[in-house]
Amino acid sequence: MISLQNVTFGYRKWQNVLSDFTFELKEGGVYGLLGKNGTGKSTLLYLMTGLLRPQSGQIVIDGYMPIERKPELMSEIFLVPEVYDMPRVTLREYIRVIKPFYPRFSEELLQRCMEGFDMSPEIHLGALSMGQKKKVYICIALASNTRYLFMDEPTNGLDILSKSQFRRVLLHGMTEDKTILISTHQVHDVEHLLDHVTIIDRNRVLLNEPLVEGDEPINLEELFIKTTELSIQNS
Amino acid sequence: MNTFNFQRFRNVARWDLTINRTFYTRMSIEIVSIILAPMMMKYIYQLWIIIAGSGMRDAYITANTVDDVESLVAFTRFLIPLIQSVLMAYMFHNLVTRQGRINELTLPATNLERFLWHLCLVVGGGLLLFLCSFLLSDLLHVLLGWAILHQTSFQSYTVEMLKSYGELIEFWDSPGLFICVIITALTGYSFFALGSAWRYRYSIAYTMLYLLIIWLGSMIVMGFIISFIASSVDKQDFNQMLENWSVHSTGIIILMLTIQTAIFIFVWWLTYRLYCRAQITTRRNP
Repeated sequence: MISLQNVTFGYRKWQNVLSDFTFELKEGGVYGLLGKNGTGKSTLLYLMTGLLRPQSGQIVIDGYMPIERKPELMSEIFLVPEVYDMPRVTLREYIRVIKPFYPRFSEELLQRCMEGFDMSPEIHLGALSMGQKKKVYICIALASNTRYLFMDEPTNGLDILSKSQFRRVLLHGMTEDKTILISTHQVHDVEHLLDHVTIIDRNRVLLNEPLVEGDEPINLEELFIKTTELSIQNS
Repeated sequence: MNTFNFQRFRNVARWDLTINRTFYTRMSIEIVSIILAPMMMKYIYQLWIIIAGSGMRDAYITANTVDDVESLVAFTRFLIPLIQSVLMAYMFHNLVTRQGRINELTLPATNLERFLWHLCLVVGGGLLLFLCSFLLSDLLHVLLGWAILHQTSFQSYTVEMLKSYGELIEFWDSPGLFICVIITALTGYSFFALGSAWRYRYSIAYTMLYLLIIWLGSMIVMGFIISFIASSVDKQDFNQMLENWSVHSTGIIILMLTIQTAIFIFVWWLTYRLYCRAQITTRRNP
């Protein structure tokens, strides 16, 4: 379970991105993390992966504090950032060196994910386009079989076909004990994947509800607009 | 909790050497080239003399036999501390880019394992590179000396280098003073590692700037202290005091050793603390 208690964080003094923020995430399922620009979605992911240190408050994942970066926790977390670069090595070489850090790493799952994206595992990571890098990184993240997988705008930079492949790949790579948290603006790309939606503002969670599909498909965009407008009216 | 696991340490080493292979290869080639450069220049110069006037060759060979390698060794001994400082300044090169920070800081290994690996790499890797460069210099010396100057006996560059360090030990008649000098040198390198943990980009430039400021500051403070002491005692007593304060007196050596060791430990403690507290973005390292 992920628990954030009264977390305050800002990149500059007197300008907090998150203020006294409290939030809980139960294990299992695909969570959508939505919010307006600058509400701290990426910051939240960085805080949960121990890449940022909260000014106050506490973040606990399965009894560990991410900022301590203990291997026991880090081997259960994988972050797919929005923008990144890959080392100039072949995929095989890269897998050989990161596999020992993730005890449940599955090469079979990696192979299936790569096939899902119409990519061969025999590639050189330094020779990939931005979109291809993203696909490979997503495959590695899923194959690492960590309990927590955080994705920051995973569909940014993917073409229409790749977005559809992304949804298929994610569903293939999903197991009951995995918790995937997707922070995104591209709500249409992920709305059929999500089990749960969380809409945040600077210091509060506006909505944290499971998505129960009824007869009509859920329109996330509408839900997001309604929730944020309601919060503006209330405040 | 297990803060150090040798298997994980090995995995960190394998991971780092693989993902930064291009960087390390380029850096190694650059360092070896810098160390080989004086030797190459020497032979290029000799070749030029031979081409310019064949009659000069024999005279040149006679004039340049024994001292050649010694002057190269002296020059390399001046280069090595500079190269080692640069290596220390690259200790946390993984943290220069945001992606590098994500890779490094989310790697499932303890801070201590990652930190020790980086330290081993810049110290051990540096020493290995130096040794390889000396051996390569010897090889070049033999090959070029034979090909260009038709020399058959050679002075070993590696042996001369090791001998020169041996002489350095003999130079300091007091072991306490020698240890003090060694710790001072190591502290100098440590400042570059600290600079690398403090600012990831342009860490060499920032470290040199900070060291210059510290040096100037300490000179000013020392000046004030000395002038204060000089003004509070009369001239004869002050001269006597300076004579008594010989660097060979045990008290002074113990004091210097204590201060240097304390600075050394503090610098490494701070470096490790900064490394453990590294974040993906801060005002200092955006």
